[in-house]
Amino acid sequence: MKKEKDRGDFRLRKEISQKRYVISAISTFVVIFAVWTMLCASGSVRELFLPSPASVVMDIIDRAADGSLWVDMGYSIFRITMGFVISTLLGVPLGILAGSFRKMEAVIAPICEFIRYMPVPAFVPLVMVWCGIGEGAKITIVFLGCFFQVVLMIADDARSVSDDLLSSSYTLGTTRWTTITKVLIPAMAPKMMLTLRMMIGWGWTYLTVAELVASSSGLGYSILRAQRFLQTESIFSGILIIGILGLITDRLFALAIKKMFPWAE
Amino acid sequence: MTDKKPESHAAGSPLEAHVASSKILAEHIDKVYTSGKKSTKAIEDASIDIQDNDFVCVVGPSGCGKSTLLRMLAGLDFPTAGSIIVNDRKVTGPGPDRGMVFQTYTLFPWMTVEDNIKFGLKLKKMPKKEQQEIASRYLDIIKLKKFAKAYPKELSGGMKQRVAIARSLANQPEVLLMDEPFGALDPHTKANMQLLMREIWETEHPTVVFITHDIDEAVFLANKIYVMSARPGRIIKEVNVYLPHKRRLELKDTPEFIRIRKSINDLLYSANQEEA
Repeated sequence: MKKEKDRGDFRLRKEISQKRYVISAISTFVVIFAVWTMLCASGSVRELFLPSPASVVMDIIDRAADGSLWVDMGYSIFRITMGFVISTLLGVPLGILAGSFRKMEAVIAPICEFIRYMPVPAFVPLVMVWCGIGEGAKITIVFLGCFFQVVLMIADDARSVSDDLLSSSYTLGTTRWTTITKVLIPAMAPKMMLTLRMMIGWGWTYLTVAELVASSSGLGYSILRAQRFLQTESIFSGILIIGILGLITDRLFALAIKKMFPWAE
Repeated sequence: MTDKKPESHAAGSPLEAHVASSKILAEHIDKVYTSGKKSTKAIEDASIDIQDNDFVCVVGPSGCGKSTLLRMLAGLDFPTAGSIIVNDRKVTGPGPDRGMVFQTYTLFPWMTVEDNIKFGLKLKKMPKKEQQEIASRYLDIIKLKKFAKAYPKELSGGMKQRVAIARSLANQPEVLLMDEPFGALDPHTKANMQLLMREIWETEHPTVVFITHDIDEAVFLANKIYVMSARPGRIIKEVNVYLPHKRRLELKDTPEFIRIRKSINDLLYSANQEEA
């Protein structure tokens, strides 16, 4: 008989330790960073196309020191928060209705499906006509990007609660209303939080779109301004900062979900 | 969406005196499913009559409509023709007077075992102290006192079903409806659950309607068995099980047990032959 080959870490779906996972993840970052540094140090690429990592880091430090970074960040965080909160406050109840009653689904879901395929950037000119280029415009764009998706995904989350769970709550004495408040919503809550976590990720994209074309402040605008002055390192630092903020929000959500639902499988 | 028109209520108006002796009385039940132009008869002319404190099983092959029949008793589904009366009231929707245990796990995963058992009591706004007493008593009965503060995800399949039974019984329903509750359990756990269920019945005497396709299970648990055949679902026989009230697993090896099991088996086999 042929001897079984030991495939080590490359057996399908083999678990590895947390430590080795972290080391592997960090090494990817290190490798990319190293390649980047070497490309710049070799002098084969012009600084205008690819600024060195050092100059990008310096740019971030400079902007943090003169305070412009915090101002841009403040604007951006305010806008995404407002857009996200409004989408959530309106989208979650509508999604739950659509996921609970076929009639409501018929009223709500098809139109949302339709609108969500309209590209959000195409709405920017319209939003500028309606709302100018004030804060309202940026918040509206984040809202347009998130809201319709939230409704549909929350409706899916609501539908995923098993019929038997709802039936058993009826046989324990809930009414239609208390079935929704005491059983359906708590049962779908972990999935709902996952949906919102994904949504805020997309929110950053829509926010940047809005700030690139219809703004005179915020992180997206700082990227556009840097391009006008050919400050490539500032373009890099702007993108990087948005990435880092996105990562932080994502981690915060993940942590909150873990803390809120210790009972989830 | 308001609280004003709850779908779940005990029932409509009390009915005439002639039904007073039956706990559950279903007469000439038909259930037809229509999708487009096609209609399928799931249940045809089924009548059942169950006395207070009785333990009744309904057996039949899959697709015979036995689960549908149970769901109609619970008020989760409605007959196309015929009437269902539970505790002298016409069934018009689900309610806490008819507790139900499902084959799938239906514990509320965000609540501890204890809070699951108290769920119905909280809805009734029962005083906290009383809730605790009842929960403790049922935790004792299902032998899961140690798991009072555990979440369902920490329990095995059999434990989950024990809690589900306790959750229904704690609510003090008029009848306990069970839809193949042990169907997903391994044979050993299943046998222990049957024993526990019979013990509970011997001490608490709830009125139980228990659906299963396992003839062995039905004969062990029931005082009376309704045998159903498929397509359309009809009740072909009512079998009284004259076995001792106190039942232990050894009973399954006695000649009388085997005889009853065989007679039901034969009944289902010949019904199946006719259909084929």
